[in-house]
Parts: sequence; structure tokens; C-alpha cells
Amino acid sequence: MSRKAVTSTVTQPSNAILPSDICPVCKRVRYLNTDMRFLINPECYHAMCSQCVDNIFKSGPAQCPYVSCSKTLRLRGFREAWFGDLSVEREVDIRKRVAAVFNNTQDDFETLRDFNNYLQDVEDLTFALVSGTDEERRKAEAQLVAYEEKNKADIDRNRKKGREVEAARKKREAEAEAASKARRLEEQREEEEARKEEATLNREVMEALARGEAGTAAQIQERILAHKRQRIAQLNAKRTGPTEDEEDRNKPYDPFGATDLDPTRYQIHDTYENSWLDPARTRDDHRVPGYSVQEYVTRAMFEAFAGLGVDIDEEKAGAQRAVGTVGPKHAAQANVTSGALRKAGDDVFG
Amino acid sequence: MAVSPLVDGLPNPAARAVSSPLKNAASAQASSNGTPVPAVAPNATAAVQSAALDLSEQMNEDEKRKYIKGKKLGEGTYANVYLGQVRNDPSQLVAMKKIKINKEYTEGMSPDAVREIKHLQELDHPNIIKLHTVFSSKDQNLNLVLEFLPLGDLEILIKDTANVHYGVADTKAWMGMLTRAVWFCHENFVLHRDIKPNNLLIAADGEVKLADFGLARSFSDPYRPMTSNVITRWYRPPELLFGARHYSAAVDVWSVGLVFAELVMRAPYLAGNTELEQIELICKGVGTPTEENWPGVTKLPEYTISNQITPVLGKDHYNALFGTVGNEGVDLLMKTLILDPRKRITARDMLKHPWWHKDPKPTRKKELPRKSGGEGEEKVGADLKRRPGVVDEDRTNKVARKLDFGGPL
Repeated sequence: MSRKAVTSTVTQPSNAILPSDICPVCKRVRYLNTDMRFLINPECYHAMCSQCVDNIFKSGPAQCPYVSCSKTLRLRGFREAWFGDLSVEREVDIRKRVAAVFNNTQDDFETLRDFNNYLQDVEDLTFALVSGTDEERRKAEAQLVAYEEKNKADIDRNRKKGREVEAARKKREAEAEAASKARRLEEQREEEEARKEEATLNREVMEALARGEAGTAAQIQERILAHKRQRIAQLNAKRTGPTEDEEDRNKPYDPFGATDLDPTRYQIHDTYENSWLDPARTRDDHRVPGYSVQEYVTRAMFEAFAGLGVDIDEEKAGAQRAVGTVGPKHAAQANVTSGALRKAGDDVFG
Repeated sequence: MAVSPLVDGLPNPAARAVSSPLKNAASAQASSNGTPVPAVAPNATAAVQSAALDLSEQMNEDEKRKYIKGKKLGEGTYANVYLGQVRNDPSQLVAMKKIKINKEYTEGMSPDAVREIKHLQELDHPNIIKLHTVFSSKDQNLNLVLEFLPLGDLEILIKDTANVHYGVADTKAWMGMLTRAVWFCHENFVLHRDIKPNNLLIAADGEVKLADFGLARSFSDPYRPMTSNVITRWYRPPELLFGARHYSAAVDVWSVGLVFAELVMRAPYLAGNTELEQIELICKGVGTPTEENWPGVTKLPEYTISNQITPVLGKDHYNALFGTVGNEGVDLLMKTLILDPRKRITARDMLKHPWWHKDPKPTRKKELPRKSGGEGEEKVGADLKRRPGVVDEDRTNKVARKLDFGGPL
């Protein structure tokens, strides 16, 4: 059986099966060598036992020992196959290689159609590499190399991006995992509690009876049960949704502190023609230390239009003014850092 | 009573009605200025006095009566700082900064005070110290009523390496608040020109507030020179050290970058004892300014560098020193410490930087580390009374001592 398999791999490597008992090269059998491992080299995917690899390739690159194979192999290239079917192993390797080069994501395309066409092209190329004739394979190979050469920068960028996305995904998963674990523990604890409550029920009834409480045993039990249910309901009510504190913690961070100072009533252009400003743009004593004409222009525009946003009626109607930070009561000392110290609306000039 | 310096110094409220709505983060309000607004219910004594006083004096008197001066928090050559209370609500505390009459400026107010009032009364933002009001007291001293910030400043947190521990998330939160404050100043065309850790005070709820506007000024018009002798030396950007007279908001950004570095290292990054030494340190710690990295720099009036030229240091240098803040954080730091001010990042672009959204998320302000004990109060007194733009004498000494023992710089 093995002999046949070997000959077939030689002529058509894509049909090979990883041998399990007999090394196709040295014919050693597992029966006598229990720790036998079979290695392959992605150059030709011809399997042989680790001892053969050591014997043949230790002293440097050599030709593949398979009769019809003329590939030169190196020790470094050998590894264990993941799949028993070596054609699958080879296809997976090729797909990995192609995916590393054609690593665009849907975000890189304007339309879904473009993306699908791209996927189709990639798949055609992959198929040619995996199961095409020699001619097709060579062509596809050349295409792959050319693409890689041409889009080196893009590929690198995508790879980096992919890594980040992957890291984020892993983190998300880990978080979800931790959360679900915490939930499970919580549930377990709850169940435990409920069981305990249940167990104390009988004892409490007995105690109540011993104390000589009013009513029959059934009534007492009823009462205690009702009381317990209420407590359990209370316990459950406490844990609905995140607390205010948690919500605050989970809010996304806004570096601008929810303040938008962009002008709303006019636009600032990049350049304004003004011969008076020209020397300020070009003179060394302004230009070199970074004097910014744009800052000046922005200010001039602001001052020109500042009155536009003022509605005196509105301002007069405006209630008491609260400014600064009002510290939480428990913060350090119990004092308020600032507050409504001035009342509005009673301006003598108003 | 002569015309009080206060009324002299301030534009009248009628002119203020057109004051920009933009300068106030909370826009619904009646008057954005620090000019006195009469008390809601002027009390009996004030009413009796009113016969003898003109309107401005009356307003001043009313404003003064709103606060009770308490114990002294600190005394300096430039100002005394007192703890104050609001008369109608004694639970509300304020800091009252009484500017001393300055021998150099007997004719009027010291420019520091003018600058402080001028800009603080216009800026209303959670990360900028609030000026509640201004009034003059009997001997024509100027009194600034400021927000009381009891938890000290960033410098004591940075320096107390034994008791205060903080991490990247805390640094990020503090930097966020600082950058927002600077951004708000710049959006309102104000240069702070003295950003350093001991001008960053901490409110009771942990909010960092930019204080001490004694060196602030509004953006200059073209062809109108500004002084280059501003910003405490350690935080002074190269263009100012080279004597530039026309500069931009980029000077503040450099200081912000150095505060960032200091927060991470817990020691000043570039602490020169003289201006020449400061330039030297910048050359070594950032890179030597040359025509290649800063076209035209050799033409600046006081351009002096030693013969030893250090190329602009790369990312690996910063990674080694500041790697804890992560790749993006180092990137942001490097952009704030670009030698050429035209290439330096702006405060607005700093806030758009991806670092803020990377892990870890900035700490919430109520969870930020703080210094316990009463030291904060004293420190606030010390901070407010200080003359702007100078390195604390006692701080420099400590650094020198540390050097002697070979401790970390």
C-alpha cells in the first residue's frame, strides 16, 4: 500500500496521504520505532521520517530522496504536517500565503460588488495555484509576485490594521468571557442563597411555633413565606441594569469635554488676501519663531462677528448662573469650589 | 475717596454687553465679566453709606461686603492670599488674593494683576480657575476673589513619590484637563505663557484647573513685538530662549509637552539653571535646532548653540524614557516637543490625537489620586501669591541636592 502511495505522490503531490506506519524512504516501521514522526517540506510535500530527515539533510541541502523528485530541500524547511491529507496541507499553505498578500478588507472597496469581484479574482488565482496545470500555476505564481511587489505598502498597512483588529477582537472575547464567568458565579451564588433560605424555612416555622406566635402552623408558615418572597424580590430588584456609577464609567471619553468652539455663523478660509499681512507671512522675524497669521485672522474674524451670537433678551431672561466645578460633598473637605456667586439679571446697566 | 483703581482698570459694563458668547462654556448667562454686580439685597449700612459714595464706589462696596475674609493662607512679595467665605452662604469658600501695592507701579496696578483680571474674567471653563469678582479695599489694594481649590497642585503630587502613586490612566486624565484648558485659552486668543505643574491647581472634586494668568496676554497683532522673557525657564520653548518677539500659541504647547514629560518621569525633564544651560539641555534632550530641522533658526536674535550638534532624537529615545504611556502617548509627546514651532502640534490637534481613545481610559476625576492632609491649602496659598514666571527657589535647591546624591533627576 505504501509503495503505491509513494509513487503517486511523486508524480502528483496533491494526492498524497501522510504515511502512518512505514517510512516511504527508509522503510522503517513504527512497530520497531514507536516514537516515529513524519515530516514534510513545503517544497514538495514528500513525507519521510524524522530520522531520514536528520540523516539526509543534516550536512546541508540535498535532493529529495523520492525517486522522481528533483527538488533541493533544506533541514530548516521540514515540519510536521497538520493534516493527514497532504494535499489539504498544501492547499492550506497556499491559501495562507495568498491571504497574506491579498489582505484587503471590505472597507477598502467602495462597493460590495468591487469587493466581491476582488474575492473572485483572488479565488481564481488560488485555484490555479492549488490545482492548476503547470502552465497555469506558473502564471498565477508570477501574478502573485507581481501584485506583492506592486502593493507592498498597502499590504503592510493592511497587515498592521488586521493585527490591531485581531487584538481588539481577542480582548473583546476575553472580556465577554470574563463577564459571563462572573455572571455564572453570581447565579450560582444566588441559587445557593435561595437554597439556604429554603432550608431555614422549616426551622423558622418551628421556632415561631415554639415562641407561641398567634395562628396555626399553616398560617405562620404562610406569613414567613410571604416575608421571604419579599426579601428575595428585593434582592433581585437591586441588580437590574448598570448603576449610575457604572454608566458614568462606561461613557466614552471626550477629549474636548463636550465643548465645541468652532464658529457657527461664519467660515474661516485658509487664506485671505491682504497686502498688509503679507510681510508677516514672509518676514523672518515673524515666520521663523512661528508667528501665525492664521491665528490673527481667526481672531479678527471672531471679533468682527462676535456680536452676532448675542441676544440681549435671552441673556436677560437667563436664570442664575452656575459656573466652575461643584465638588461632590464627600470630596476632601466639604466645601463647594465654586457656585452661583453672582446673580444675573440685576445689572444696573442692564 | 479717590476713584478706585478697580473702576479705572476695567472697561465699563455697557461696553461688555457685546462680549463674546463664545468665551463662556456655559453660554446662558447675563454678564461674562468680572465687574461688580450689586448684591441682591444691599444691607442697611451700605444704604446709609450710599449718600456719600458715587455709583462705582457703591458697587465696589457692595461687592466687598459679599465676602468675609478669613485666615491667611500665604504671604508673598506680590500678594497675600486669604481664605474667604460668602456672607450669605458661609459654607461656600473662596480664595481672596490681595495684591500688594508695588513700589515699581505706584501710579497704577502692577501689570501682573491687570493681566490676570483681564483674561480670567473672560474665560469660563471647568479647567480654568474661576475669578468670581474683583474689588478694591480701603487702601486701594486690589482684591481678586478666586475659586478656592483645596487639594494643592500637580507639583506636589509629582514630587511626593513616596506617598502618591499614579499610573498612565491618571496621567492621561490630568493631561486631558490641562490640554482642554490650554485649548480653551487659545480658542479665545489668550496665550497663558506660564504653564507648569504648580500653576495647575486641583479642585475638591479632582478637576485640574489652570491658574495664574499673571503673564497671560492676548495674541499679538502682526508687527507688534511681544516680550520673549516669559514662561518659567524649565518650560520655556526654544523660540523664546532665542529671543523671538513674534510667536504663537505654540509656546504654550511646548510647556504642555514638558509637563507631560514631568508627569511621567516625576521629575522635570529639562531643568536648566540658566538660559544657556536650558538651551543646552534642549539640544541634548530633544535635539539641536539647526537650519535643517528649523529653517531660518540661525537668524533668530539670540541664537546660540554649542559646537556639539545632537540630531533630533528619535522615537526609541522617547520610548526608553516615556514608554509607559504607550506608543500613541510617546507620539503625542514628540509632537509637542517639535523644535520648529510651525511644525509643533496645536492644542486643538492634541485633543484630536488617538491617544485619548487608547487603553487605558483616563481615570474619572473623582478617582484620581490626591494628596491627603492640610498641605494642599498651604500650597494653594503659596501658588497664588507667587510672582509669575519664576522657578521656585526652594524647588531648585531640592533638585540640586538630589543631584549630589546621585538620585533620579
